[in-house]
Amino acid sequence: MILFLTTILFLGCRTAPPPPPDPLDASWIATVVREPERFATTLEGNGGREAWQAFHRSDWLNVQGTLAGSAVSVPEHRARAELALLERLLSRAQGDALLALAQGWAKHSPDQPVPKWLIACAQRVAELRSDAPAAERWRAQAVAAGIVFDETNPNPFVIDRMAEMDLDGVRVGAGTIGENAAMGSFWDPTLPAALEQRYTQVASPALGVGLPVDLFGPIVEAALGTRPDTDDVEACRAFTVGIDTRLDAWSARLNETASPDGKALLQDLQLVQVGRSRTLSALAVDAVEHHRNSCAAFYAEQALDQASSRQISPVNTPTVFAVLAVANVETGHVREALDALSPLRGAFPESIGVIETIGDLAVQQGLERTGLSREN
Amino acid sequence: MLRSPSSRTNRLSRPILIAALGCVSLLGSAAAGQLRYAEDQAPAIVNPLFTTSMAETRVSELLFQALYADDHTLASVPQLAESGELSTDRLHMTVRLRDNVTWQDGTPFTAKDVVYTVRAMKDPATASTEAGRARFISDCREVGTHAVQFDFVRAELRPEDKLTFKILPASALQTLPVKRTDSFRKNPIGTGPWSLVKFNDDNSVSFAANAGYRGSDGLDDVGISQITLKEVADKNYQAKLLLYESIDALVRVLPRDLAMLQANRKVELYPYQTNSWWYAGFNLARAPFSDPKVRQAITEMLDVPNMLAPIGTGDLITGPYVPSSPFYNHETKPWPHDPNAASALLLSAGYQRDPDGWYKAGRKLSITVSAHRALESAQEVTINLQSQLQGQGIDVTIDFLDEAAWRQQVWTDRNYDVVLSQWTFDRNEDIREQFHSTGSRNLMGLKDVEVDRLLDVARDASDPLARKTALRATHQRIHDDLPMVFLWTLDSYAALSTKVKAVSVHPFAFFTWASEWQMQ
Repeated sequence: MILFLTTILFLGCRTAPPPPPDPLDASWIATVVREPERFATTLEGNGGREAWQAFHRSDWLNVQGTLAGSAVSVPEHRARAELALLERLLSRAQGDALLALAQGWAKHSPDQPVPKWLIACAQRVAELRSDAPAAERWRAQAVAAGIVFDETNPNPFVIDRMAEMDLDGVRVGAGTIGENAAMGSFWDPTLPAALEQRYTQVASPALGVGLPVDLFGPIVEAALGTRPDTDDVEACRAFTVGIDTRLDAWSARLNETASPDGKALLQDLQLVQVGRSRTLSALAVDAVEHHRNSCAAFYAEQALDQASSRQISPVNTPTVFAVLAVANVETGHVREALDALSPLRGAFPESIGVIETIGDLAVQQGLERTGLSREN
Repeated sequence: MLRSPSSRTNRLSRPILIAALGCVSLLGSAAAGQLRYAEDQAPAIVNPLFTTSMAETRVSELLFQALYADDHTLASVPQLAESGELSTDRLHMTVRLRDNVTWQDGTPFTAKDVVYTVRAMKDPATASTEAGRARFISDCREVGTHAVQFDFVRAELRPEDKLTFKILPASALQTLPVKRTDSFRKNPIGTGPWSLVKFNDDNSVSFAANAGYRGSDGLDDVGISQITLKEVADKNYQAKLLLYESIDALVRVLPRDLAMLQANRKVELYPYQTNSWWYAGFNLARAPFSDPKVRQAITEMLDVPNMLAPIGTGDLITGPYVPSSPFYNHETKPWPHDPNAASALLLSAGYQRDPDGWYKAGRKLSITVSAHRALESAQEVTINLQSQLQGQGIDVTIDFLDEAAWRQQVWTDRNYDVVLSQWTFDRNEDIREQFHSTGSRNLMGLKDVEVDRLLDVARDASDPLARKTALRATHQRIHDDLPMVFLWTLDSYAALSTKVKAVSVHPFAFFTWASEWQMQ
């Protein structure tokens, strides 16, 4: 009897059900590390190594596929989708700043008339945001200020002139201040929105599923738990700590069992850091879209490689900087938004207009303040 | 010639420090609710009237309050004020004060304290470093026990944005002018969340929660019962102390330590983007630095990226702003690193190149570079600078100065050739005091009528675009004048143990919101 029970227990132990599969084992990171050959084949068969290298280092403007004919490769499509998102965020940051600048003018500069360019831009941004009352208020001011667009002085906003323009045509104005007879000099606040439209138009909405679609993207959220749905930074911090704890343990196991090639890929391409960053970036974007800006700023800061936080890199995507800028502008940290956008200035000429507009708001908010300085 | 004793001290102290780390972590662990943070140098004095360094600013934030302070959206909200009423002509403001506030010695906070503070700041005999912050006030008087009326020099739109200086206790200081040496500097009394307990023998400073603290937000409890400021002069060890849990917070992380700290799950990095930049400034009142050709020659001898590389990541700058500033002039081109052009400039300035260096009227061109001993990475930078210039025929002596010598020799006597230092600005990035001919912090002695005019235009502008334009022109003009070699701005992060919860860091003053922090 005892022998029988012992045998049963022993067999029971031996045949205990295996632990449930870890969802992270189905991630693109696991696939790359465990199947380096499949990874190599994926690169070559979907646009070529150089396109993917550019995509990996977040150099989205230079993702050039090598498919035959005019076919557009997966990394090109994905880069365009990333650029559309980037432009959406830049548009929001510039629009926020411009409206705040226009609305704050009377308070901060009561002895100065609102500049004509600002009236016209505020009207157009309000219209684009479908804010009819604000658009009407600014339209009335535009009429009073004699701002008229007609055949001799056509509407200068690129979003209203882009029907015949391709992407390159829209891009022509990036980084250059506009001139208009009725408005004077102005940074076109509709440029990022126009670029978003063009990038969206040329990015395929349906790429299907599989490694090329997931590669160097976020880790599926199902593997990471349920995100907080409030703007509570401590809850978001706890969620992020959970992600890190989970990724640390899993990536250590992955590294132990990886082949030499897999280990090399894991380290050289910073796969876990890239996946973590893109995940946190996606969380930040989701948070700003739900106006949870404190959490958005937190996620974006956490997504950054802080040791090189002023450079676009595989970990520091342009999106992270842009989403951080949106969150900063909308939480009153306008000067900090300029720090966030600084790395985009060289790579994305359209960011200059965004930076100038946010800069004007930062200056306006400091008009009545006394500056402080300290040594060291 | 390296006159600093600090490198020797560092070598000697290394084993001692390592031993100390072990002892601290075994024996000196933090009491519950205690936050220990590191500064490069403990403040010499604690009196907001005489604040000059960021370390002093941070301590003032723990102890003192202002009439108005920044909320989390960086808008000015009442702190010691209850409410404010601006006259229709905007030349007067009546501020009603909270009547439930007491000083840490139990004395009630009243209008007398506000009036005393303003008069102390404005009294020329006090020579307050904060005098400029009260310049917009022409008079200030009590209009009740808890009400003050301010008269302004000119119409003010939002005076609460300027009424952010720290208020001092009239009963503790009593007389005017206030002297820097007043015993208050060692026994400060504030209304803030913490009170100073003791300056300890090991150069640390202890603070305890102020039992009588009344927060303007209705929250009277502070989450951290004790704070200890630990002076850790060798910045190379601060990150290690944090990793060994001998401290809980590090105010400014060396850029080269960022990767190590980010990888540690017991530490969290927080952006602390003070607008700071480094410079090597010339004494314009002293030959040969009064000659712009000599200044330009020295500038073009320097390979600035090479000087930055060993100390970490950062951005090179061409003028008195960080590149993300709205006032930074991106059209300004950096001076080239061009030793041949530098030689030509020295020849045109009357120097001759002999085998052992540059000579004029029989005197060899030699420079003393002075730096504050507490300036992080100063040794690496000055030695690099010395090596570069000596390789091109200019003798360089390096002089590291402690706080007292720095104050006396550099600021009071102006007895220096070139200083290596760093300026830090709040988000307004107001450089007037540094570069206007009447500026109280115009250490180089720049006197340029056009710079003065542009700074006046910027100060008086009520149009943000006019201010921006004037200050960008100022940037270009100061770059051309070369009162200093503009070097770089470094990535700036603070690091805190994950045991510290609910942390949010003010972009300049650091501890503004620390009363909300909690210790696990």
